[in-house]
Amino acid sequence: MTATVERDASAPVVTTGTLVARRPAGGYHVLTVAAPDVVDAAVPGQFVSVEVGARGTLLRRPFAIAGVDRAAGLLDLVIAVVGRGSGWLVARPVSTTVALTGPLGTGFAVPGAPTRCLLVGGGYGVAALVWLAGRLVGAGHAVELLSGARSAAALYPVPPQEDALALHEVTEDGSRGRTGLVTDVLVDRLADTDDAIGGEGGRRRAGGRGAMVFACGPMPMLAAVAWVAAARGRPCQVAVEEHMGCSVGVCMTCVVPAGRGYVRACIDGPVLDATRVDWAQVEGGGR
Amino acid sequence: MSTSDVDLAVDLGPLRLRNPVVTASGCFASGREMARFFDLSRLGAVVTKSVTLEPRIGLPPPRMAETASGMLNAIGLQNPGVDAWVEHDLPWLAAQDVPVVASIAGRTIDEYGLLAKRLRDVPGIAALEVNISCPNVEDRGIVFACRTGATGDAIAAVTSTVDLPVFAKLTPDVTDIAGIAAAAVDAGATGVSLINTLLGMAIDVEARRPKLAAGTGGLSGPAVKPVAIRAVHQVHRALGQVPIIGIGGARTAEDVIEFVMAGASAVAIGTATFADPCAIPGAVDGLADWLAHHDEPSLAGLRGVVGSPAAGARLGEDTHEA
Repeated sequence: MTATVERDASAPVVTTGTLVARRPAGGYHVLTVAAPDVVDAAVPGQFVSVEVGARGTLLRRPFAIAGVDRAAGLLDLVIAVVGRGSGWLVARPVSTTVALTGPLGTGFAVPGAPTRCLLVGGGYGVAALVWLAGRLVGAGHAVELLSGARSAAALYPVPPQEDALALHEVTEDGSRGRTGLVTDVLVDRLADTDDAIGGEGGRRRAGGRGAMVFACGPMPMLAAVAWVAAARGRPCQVAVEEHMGCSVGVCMTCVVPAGRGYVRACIDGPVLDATRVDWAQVEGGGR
Repeated sequence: MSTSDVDLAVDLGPLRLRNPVVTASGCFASGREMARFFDLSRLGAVVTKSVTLEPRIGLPPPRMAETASGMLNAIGLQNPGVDAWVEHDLPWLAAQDVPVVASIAGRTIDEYGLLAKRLRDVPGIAALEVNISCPNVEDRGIVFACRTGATGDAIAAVTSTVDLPVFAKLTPDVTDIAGIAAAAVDAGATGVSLINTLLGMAIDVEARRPKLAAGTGGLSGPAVKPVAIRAVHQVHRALGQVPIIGIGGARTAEDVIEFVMAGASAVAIGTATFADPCAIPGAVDGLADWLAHHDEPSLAGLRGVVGSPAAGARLGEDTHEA
């Protein structure tokens, strides 16, 4: 049931979509949904909330938009099965109609001038960053994607990209890529002030302007990324992850400590300037 | 009968609402968030999130846990304080062509009086809802709506201060809600809002700790609807024509009809908005369809029409009398 309202093009819509494809991606599921009115205005970092039919469930589930095909009116959702709602959704057959609301929340702010961009993701949080990376590369920025997880099984499989995107993979158990934490790689890459990207005299040489950090993943990882970025004086945007109730800004569930109170992840975020968040108050975020 | 022939208007005491569907306090934030989805003039009224004298940052997360056909919340009355609300949120809301019912919550009887005084001469407020039943307070002893004396004192502090219609929001976590409602009316309340959330708890058995940071929280959603219907029915039978705002688990037009038949004058939709941002306009549309389909010219004519339980099934009545 959609209400007819005058709205600006960037406002979210309450609508339905059709599941047109689904495929596994490592330990995750990629659902492709036809929802043209949601796709039009969506930017990386935003999300949709999806109604789930699992028995006894009540609330819609929020999922980050992992990419769009504007011409076809399609959006991709990368889903980790964590409970009944997500389990129900990934089991839907193709052509199922799903109720959804979106695009919701704030997306990543993209720099105007050519900039060295370090994208730091944990687990399936990397999915939204792949979309962001494509946009940044297309706009002429120098982009590195740092993808981390506990193990190879939890690493999001980044699809093959054009050469302009440098990919660094890291796992805590060393089962793939470098061994350690994704923030270890971030420290190294931030130390590399000479801008190794683009090669000899490369046109993407942007190191002089300093790097910008974009992060998406679990809160303790975001806290660590924010700390590293702050210690080196680098601007940092984080897409925060909190349990949500309504997803549209009215229930005050998904709050993140910021300043002297809380901000709502669903409408003030999910993308926030890392310096706004009071990381010491975030569970698992204190150092 | 066509939908254009039916009359959805209801009287809530001295207020005439264009339809009976209102927002439940705490489920609509400032109103701007939901205006992205529908025109607020489609609502019977907006009941705002409770404001307190001073700003409150609210309780730490996790603040919500989904339960079977319901949810627990422990927000802790996060709000910007009455002054900031009057300055920043009310003017916008008052310009939306919808009656505004301002919800207030205090820690003490004096605070209710001070809040009423602060709002007394503020333009744009059609009525006050006095929240004396928020379960998410540290001291259950200050849930005024658990006792007739405290209910009367808190409501009198407001009704002696303002000329606006006043609705007392009550908790079902009491032995005799009709007695509490009577105390509110005796203290000058125009009507009552039934029900606030029920105090509940859920445990993460793997972590062996409560799912909510606050330990306990308020249960809402479809799971509580029968409790709300019962409370509305009991109070309507006890107090006759006293206006009642029915609240608790309503989502559809049929739910609204059920509340009205139980004795509600107006019906609030709250948690359903979390599940579907357009639940309220959907229910309003559905009401006109329902009335037309049932050849009922007026929604108000359905108030309290539910008769006595069938013979041999008078248990509810007996427990009330006991």
